[in-house]
Amino acid sequence: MTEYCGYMGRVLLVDLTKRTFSEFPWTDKDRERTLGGKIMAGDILLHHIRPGMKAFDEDNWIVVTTGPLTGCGCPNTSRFNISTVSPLTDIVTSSNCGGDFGLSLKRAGYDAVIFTGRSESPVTVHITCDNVEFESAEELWGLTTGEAQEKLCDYPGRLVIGPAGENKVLYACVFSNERTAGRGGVGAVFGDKKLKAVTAVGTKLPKLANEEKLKDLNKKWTKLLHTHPLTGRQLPKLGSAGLIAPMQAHSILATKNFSAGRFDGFEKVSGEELAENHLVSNAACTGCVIRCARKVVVNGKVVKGPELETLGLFGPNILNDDIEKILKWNYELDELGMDAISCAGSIAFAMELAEKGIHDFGVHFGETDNISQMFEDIAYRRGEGNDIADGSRRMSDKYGGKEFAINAKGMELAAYEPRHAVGQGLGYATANRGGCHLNAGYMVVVEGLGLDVNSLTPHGKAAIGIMFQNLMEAISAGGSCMFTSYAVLPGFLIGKPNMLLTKMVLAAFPYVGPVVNLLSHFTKVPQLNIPLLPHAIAVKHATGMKSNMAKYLTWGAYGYNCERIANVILGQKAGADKLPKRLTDELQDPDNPKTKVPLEQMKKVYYRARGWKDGIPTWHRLKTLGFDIDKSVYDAAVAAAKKPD
Amino acid sequence: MAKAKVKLFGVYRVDTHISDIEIEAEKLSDLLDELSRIAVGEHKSSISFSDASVFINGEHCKKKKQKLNDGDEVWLLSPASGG
Amino acid sequence: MAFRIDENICVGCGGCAFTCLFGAISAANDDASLYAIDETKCVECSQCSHVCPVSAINAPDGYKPIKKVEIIAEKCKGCSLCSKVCKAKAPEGKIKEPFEINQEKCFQCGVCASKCRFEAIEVKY
Repeated sequence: MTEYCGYMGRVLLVDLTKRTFSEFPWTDKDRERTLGGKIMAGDILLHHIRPGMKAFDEDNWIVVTTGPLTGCGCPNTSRFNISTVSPLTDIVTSSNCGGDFGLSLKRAGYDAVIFTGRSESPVTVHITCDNVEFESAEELWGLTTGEAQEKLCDYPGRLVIGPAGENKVLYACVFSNERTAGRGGVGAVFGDKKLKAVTAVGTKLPKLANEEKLKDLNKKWTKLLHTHPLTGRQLPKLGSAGLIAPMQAHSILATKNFSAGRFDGFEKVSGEELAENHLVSNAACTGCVIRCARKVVVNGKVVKGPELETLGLFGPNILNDDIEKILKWNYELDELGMDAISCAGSIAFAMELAEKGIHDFGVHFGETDNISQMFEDIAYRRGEGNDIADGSRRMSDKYGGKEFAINAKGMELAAYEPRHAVGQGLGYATANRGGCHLNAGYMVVVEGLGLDVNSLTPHGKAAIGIMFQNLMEAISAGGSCMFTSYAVLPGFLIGKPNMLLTKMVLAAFPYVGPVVNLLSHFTKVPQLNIPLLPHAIAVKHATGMKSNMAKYLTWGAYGYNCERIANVILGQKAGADKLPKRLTDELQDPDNPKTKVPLEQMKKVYYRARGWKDGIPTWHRLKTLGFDIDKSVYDAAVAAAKKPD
Repeated sequence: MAKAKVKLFGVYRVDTHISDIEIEAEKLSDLLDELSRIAVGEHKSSISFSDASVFINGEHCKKKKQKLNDGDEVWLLSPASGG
Repeated sequence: MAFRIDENICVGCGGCAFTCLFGAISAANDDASLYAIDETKCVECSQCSHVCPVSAINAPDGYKPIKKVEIIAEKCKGCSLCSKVCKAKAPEGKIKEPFEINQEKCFQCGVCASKCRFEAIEVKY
């Protein structure tokens, strides 16, 4: 139940062992503290986990959460979140998805659903307004994600795993329509619990606190997105794929397992090549006004096309310049249900181990004929695929090569090579879930891609990074797509990079650190709203909850600290915020001493601003942010974290 | 007058349908003026120095009046973001 | 009578088509950047306009939103037709006994009232 609008007011708890369901208690105080989405999920997990809990323990929870703005008519706001203890990283992962499941779950009357236990046999869970049914999934088990969704096509909201999830590939993902909760291996946890699919259908819609004001805001918000150079022009025309050329220009296009930042054949796998020669039409998540997804033809069928990450990591990063192969591989990975980023990063690592004569997995840089076969071997854990299915960190535990196993906290890095965008490097290292570019604060957008702050200086990066990390955390928690956060960077600055005013703002950027720090300490001070950040006001008009820019950043700070302290309790060590030595010790450009990530230097500033000691939130900082956890649990976790490995 | 090889990327390429073009110009500002004159498409007016991200021979160029040399490769990029 | 999508305002987000429980809304062009409402299927429940980000969906002239739908017990024969046609399964009861509408589930589309053979369902505006 809830006094607020926007929320449906109920959280479902499903016990897969006993095949029962009940309501999980969640109060308005909980909503005020966590907003929703990944922050809500992080908070639920924080109060549930125990030290050393592992992904495939029966009492690991899968927490699927929505944001209060979903279903309220806000543009680009029907994304949902899946959080769990990750089998890839052994810490909390939160994985975001633009499919229809979240909307459908709210229509069934729930803001979130938690899965606990483990089913004895493959099961599909059906959620409706009145009931939860457990149906045998024996007939679905073994099907690809596409085949399984086809069988369940009568349900508007679906979650499915593919063979990779069933076989517990550590980076298996969960699909909902054509979108995926891709990272961190959430699909493997579904597979471990024998949860093949979940469906949701209903007839409800969230109530609105102030319908007139919200509708007015939504119209303005849509206009803002349509007139902004990034969301209104670049993304619709080129998709995320449009990043390949700018990344090449700025030397941040990961090439040959992150041994370089530029690739000669980049044009052949660029967003321009995709848009001009392969694009059939655009596609979109439900409720999206940007419509950036690509539809392409593979084997005569119109399917979803690749995003930037797949193009970059299965292109330059494995020395492949054949885009048609990438279109096919993207489809194959989708069908098998595997994260393209971690799969590519693990394969690239395997290629380098082979090149160095350490171990030959059968895959080599520049060779493309046997990649599809390797995908099958990984998904079904056959032969050499079995090792690669465990990800680059475990591969480096077994074979060595830690300096070039390109992961942070065990999760493979995205396609941005951080030695020419050092703020992104700091972000990768500090991101809670591992080598994620978005959880990192997506610094590349200010370090050259959107704005052009000096990408090689460490100054100011910690402060800006923290602000973006917190901001994006809250934006995600409300239910919105990350791409709506780019509108925070004023269009006139993005659209006119060489204008004098822009140059002045960019020159000042590295020095805004103290101001940003001030803002994050005195969170009550900025009781103002930036028209460029409609999210905060949308929450107020949709739910009736008190919300403004300051509150928004506070939610973000709470969320970021929440996952962080949960990870420490799970067993994350002090000093876990690391990058492989290739990125911190080896120069990308031998003639430029600045082209490596000065991580330790930036971390000092970062931790001070965050109120963390060696990567661990201080008790004082947690109390200031409103956490209520047991001091003895905290003390024990911190003591364990400080013990050497 | 220098003969420069110009590559367009991003929205410039998609809107004008030009990917590669050779332009003779003394300095960058002249090259961009000439390009604007040739280009058709909804964003013709945006091919000016203030709007584009310009790279010459792989280096970011911030000088509007940058002198050009024969064989220079000039890239025009539009701001980008994604995931 | 049906709701209408203004094609000059519609941005093709697809929220309305996803929301419509009566299958009345679908893409109006090849790449689904525009949507349209099938007049013959629209029941004027207004759920589509609730989710439109640009207020592109207009009610027909003279439209009055239904505030409440109630079954008149004295007239109800308990035939259960209303429950069968209701997308939300809001009318509840036993066969041959008067049904009652669960107001938590009802989203005031009025379809049951239009189908009832005994004029036993009252619509309040």
